[in-house]
Amino acid sequence: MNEIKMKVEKFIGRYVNLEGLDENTDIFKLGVVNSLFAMQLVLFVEQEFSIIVDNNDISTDKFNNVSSITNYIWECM
Amino acid sequence: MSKKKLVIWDLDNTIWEGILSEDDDVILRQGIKEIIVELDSRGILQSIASKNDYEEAYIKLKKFNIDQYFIYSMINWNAKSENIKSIVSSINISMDSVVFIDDQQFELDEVEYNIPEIVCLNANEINHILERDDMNPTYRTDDSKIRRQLYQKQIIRNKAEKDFAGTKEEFLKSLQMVMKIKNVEEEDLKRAEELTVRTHQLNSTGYTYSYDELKKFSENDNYDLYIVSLEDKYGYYGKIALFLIKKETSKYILKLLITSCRVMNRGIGTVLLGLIINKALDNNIELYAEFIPTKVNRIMAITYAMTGFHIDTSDDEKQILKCINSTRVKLPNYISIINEC
Repeated sequence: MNEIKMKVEKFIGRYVNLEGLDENTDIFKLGVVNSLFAMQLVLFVEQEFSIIVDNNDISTDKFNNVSSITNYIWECM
Repeated sequence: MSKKKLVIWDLDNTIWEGILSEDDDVILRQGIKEIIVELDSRGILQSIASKNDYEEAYIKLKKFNIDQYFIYSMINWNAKSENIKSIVSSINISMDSVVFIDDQQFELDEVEYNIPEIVCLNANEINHILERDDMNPTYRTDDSKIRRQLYQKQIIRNKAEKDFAGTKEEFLKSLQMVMKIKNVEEEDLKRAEELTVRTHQLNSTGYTYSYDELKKFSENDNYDLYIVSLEDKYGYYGKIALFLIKKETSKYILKLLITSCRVMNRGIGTVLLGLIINKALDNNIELYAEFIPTKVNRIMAITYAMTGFHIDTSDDEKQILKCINSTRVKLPNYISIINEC
């Protein structure tokens, strides 16, 4: 699970400066991310962890911070 | 037949007479410059796929004073089908809106075999190219006349983004973007129609609307139709987004949201949804959105989901999403907004 978290943090870190933020910080509330990022995040989750994300699964509470994304991946795998 | 957005040219014995690698004294094919300039003014993009030395070829193109008309040119010794795929992917349009022109049947066959959707034309047919129906766009708008320049600015931006050392967020801040939202007026209707027809990936319903339908919406008090333009330190992007809100007594229904692919990574869709959500919250009105999943608009589905829309009801035809946000959306600070909505 730690490994998943590190991969997620590394991916998000390319878009958002995560310094000083913790795993529960809502990245979508930072007002810095956009559609393409959201799409790339979903594609990253699918490709990196070989899971299929149903569009109906996508919601702010599942994808809004490092911790929730990690949990979602963990549950899917 | 779909209207064409891009023409990819061969060079030797197509744009010019002769083979550059064998004879440096090639001459421009008769009438070709007029064709290139006319296609450009129609808003059809042009590129080059040629087996040649890049530097040498560009020296000639500059000498003929036509180099500025081509974007993402691929001049090398690779298979033309590969080069074409790379050009089309850079421009981000579908293959069935592309025409490839070459004088050699071998090259045309290679491309046609590997990319069945593309239209291949032999160079000896090009004298009639301007009369082809698919080369005559339905729209000639202020935006389409300068489409190539808009793409050229985009190439400069993309290079700046690639070379930028910080995060994407810092890059977006560095662009100093200014977005302007205004009611669709008569002068915007053509571009509004063009946006609905040209945009697929970033279209929330896949609907296309005719000029007359859009005109009716813009004049109907129960609807608000807005068009969005964008500018940054590199210049004007054009009118790049459109949205339609149906106003009922106790709720707003977002019927349509379209943003141009050229601004895919600028956060425009997210910002617009944020503004619409905030407006609904300020007026204490429930917000719904119609959504029709298509093969290519998944990115829109994700954008809606991530800004707080959940599926309320759905049938075979469409989904009705409901916005469950109870607090105002914080808008990004990397973009200034002039909001007349």
